[in-house]
Amino acid sequence: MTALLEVCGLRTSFKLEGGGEFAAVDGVSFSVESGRTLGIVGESGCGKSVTSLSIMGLLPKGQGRIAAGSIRFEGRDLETLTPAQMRALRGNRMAMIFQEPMTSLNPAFTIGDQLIEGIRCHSDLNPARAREHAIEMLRRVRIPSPEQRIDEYPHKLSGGMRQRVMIAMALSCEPKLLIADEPTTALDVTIQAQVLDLLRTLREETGAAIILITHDLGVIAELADDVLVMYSGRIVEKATVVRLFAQPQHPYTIGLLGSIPKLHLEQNRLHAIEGQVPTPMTVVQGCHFAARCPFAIDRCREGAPPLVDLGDGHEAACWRSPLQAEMVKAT
Amino acid sequence: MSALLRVESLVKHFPIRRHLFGRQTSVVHAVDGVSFEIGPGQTMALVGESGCGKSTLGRLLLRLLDATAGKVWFNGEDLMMLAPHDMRARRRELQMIFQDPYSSLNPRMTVEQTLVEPLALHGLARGRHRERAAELLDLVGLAPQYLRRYPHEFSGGQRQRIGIARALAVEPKLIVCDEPVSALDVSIQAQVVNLLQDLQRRLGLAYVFIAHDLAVVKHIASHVAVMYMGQIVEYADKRSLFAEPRHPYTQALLSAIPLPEPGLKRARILLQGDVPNPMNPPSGCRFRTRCLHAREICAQQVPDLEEVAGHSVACHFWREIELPVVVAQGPAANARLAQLQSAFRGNSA
Repeated sequence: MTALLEVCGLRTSFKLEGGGEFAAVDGVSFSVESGRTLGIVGESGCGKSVTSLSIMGLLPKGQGRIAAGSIRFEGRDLETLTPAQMRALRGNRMAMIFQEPMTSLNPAFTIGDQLIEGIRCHSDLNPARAREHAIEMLRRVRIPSPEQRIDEYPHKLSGGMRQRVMIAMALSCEPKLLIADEPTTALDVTIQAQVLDLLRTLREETGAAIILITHDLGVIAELADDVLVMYSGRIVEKATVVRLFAQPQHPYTIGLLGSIPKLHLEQNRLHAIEGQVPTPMTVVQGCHFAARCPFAIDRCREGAPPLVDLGDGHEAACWRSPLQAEMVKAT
Repeated sequence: MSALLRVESLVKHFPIRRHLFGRQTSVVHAVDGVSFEIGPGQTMALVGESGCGKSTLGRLLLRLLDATAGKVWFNGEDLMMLAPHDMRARRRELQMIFQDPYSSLNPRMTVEQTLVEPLALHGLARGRHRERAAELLDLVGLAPQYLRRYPHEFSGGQRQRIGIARALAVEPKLIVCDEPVSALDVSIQAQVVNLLQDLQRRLGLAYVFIAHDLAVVKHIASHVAVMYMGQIVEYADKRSLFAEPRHPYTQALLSAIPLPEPGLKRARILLQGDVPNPMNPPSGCRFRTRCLHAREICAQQVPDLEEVAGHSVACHFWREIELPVVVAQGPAANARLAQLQSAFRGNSA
């Protein structure tokens, strides 16, 4: 079966002030199949959002550009599409939910206006039918009394409700691919639980593929089938969700799992990763994680490790993989 | 044990006016009758969702906001009765760390100026300000050459360390930490959590730790108070709160947290709807509009915070509510992973 989305060797660069460019995403390849949820996890600046903006063709004009690689969606290379063709695809076949439901809705229009605009752009429904469809979408994302809510302005809704409206908007044209960029980060935990539950149900109902971008490994564990771990613009590990949590191979993934306080385990001390992510301007020879990695050897500082298949589709970019417990020196 | 800080029926109401000079039209009950105490060297966590009043409460403790009613006793002295000048002097012992490391440091001041200002204000370390500032940086794990730099040259985690160093400059006994790690990345968050714990051990600090992340709270706190719409609904030492959450809200909060363990089965309590408007709180129990166990009496009568063996809960029916398995125990320990993770020694303070 061919994948719905295939990203191959993606390199996205941004202009620097005073000339020059830096690659926010470098050599990223992955594919997503219908009905699957791909989680992309990493810390700020790792390139996870830039990856999604590259797919959607939403890079800021004149600043960011796709410097290399290809993105194929439903077998078509997105680079060959005209802006009009891309617009027809975006919001229709592929849609996106953003982190901040406050700023992604226009405060000057009712949520109905905004929903109906999207629906009418991509279908030939007349205004009355489009409105009915919009109400139906609000009902599907479980907004109470949607007939009244549809005529309200965004500021009247709570954060959780706004995020539901965003989801309704993204799903109104039944996209094949939904990119959710930190969809619950701005929400309280009890509201987050509602939204995650909603995403889970909608995925079953629509069979759409989801790319879920988050920094929260808990959210990944709940919703994703497959996971990419990104660090400093590159993929460092790729695995199914169960394997990633049980058998992580890249030192960064291992450190990340050790950094989070866990509700279900007793822990004495968190295994913090020392140091910090290299800034995009720093030129790093070799592996970008080497400076913070307790397993680093000379080779790591000399050349960047490629993403290597360790079996069963589990890939890691580390010269020292597969990592064994015995590699930790007893001191 | 005598309490370092004791809070008695603290209340803060914010008046709402429709127009600038208009009459007061209503009141937001931000904090409504909160009482608790903390001993020296303890960490009391205040948890709850946005708008529950936890940050307002933190500010009331230092009198950064003036309370509407109630008392705050610090070392046997009622802070609410102090003249402003005396209160400022008392802040040598009570400090605060803020959530946003970007807006809580003055961008025009170097790190040295930021750290020396509290020393000068309180007349500390006279004649050796620079040495003391360097010591403070060392205490929070930053190199002394950073003294001449400005906040914009630092990352979020480093700025939070500077904020901690500033709070430590006056050798306080208690620090109110208002969401100190929620703006930080996961790996940096762990560094700062470890740092706060090390400092507590070395300096005998007490913390009021305001947070919404229960996993972090479970890691750092000795006692936990869960707040909902300005009131404490449950209070206990950490162990009994997480082992036996009694209030339906605490149970829902715990069950809502996604655990980093794929396939872990547990009861999930999905709360309906949002937090009600604080200008117009529900009658009786404020949680009743979202509570699965609410009955008639909950609308009529405000439940008291009832204490049994040091574990307090404000619910009419807590004895009847079955304890759901909201935090399942994880699978057998992953020996390989634990061994590999031990290679990350964590940061040193």
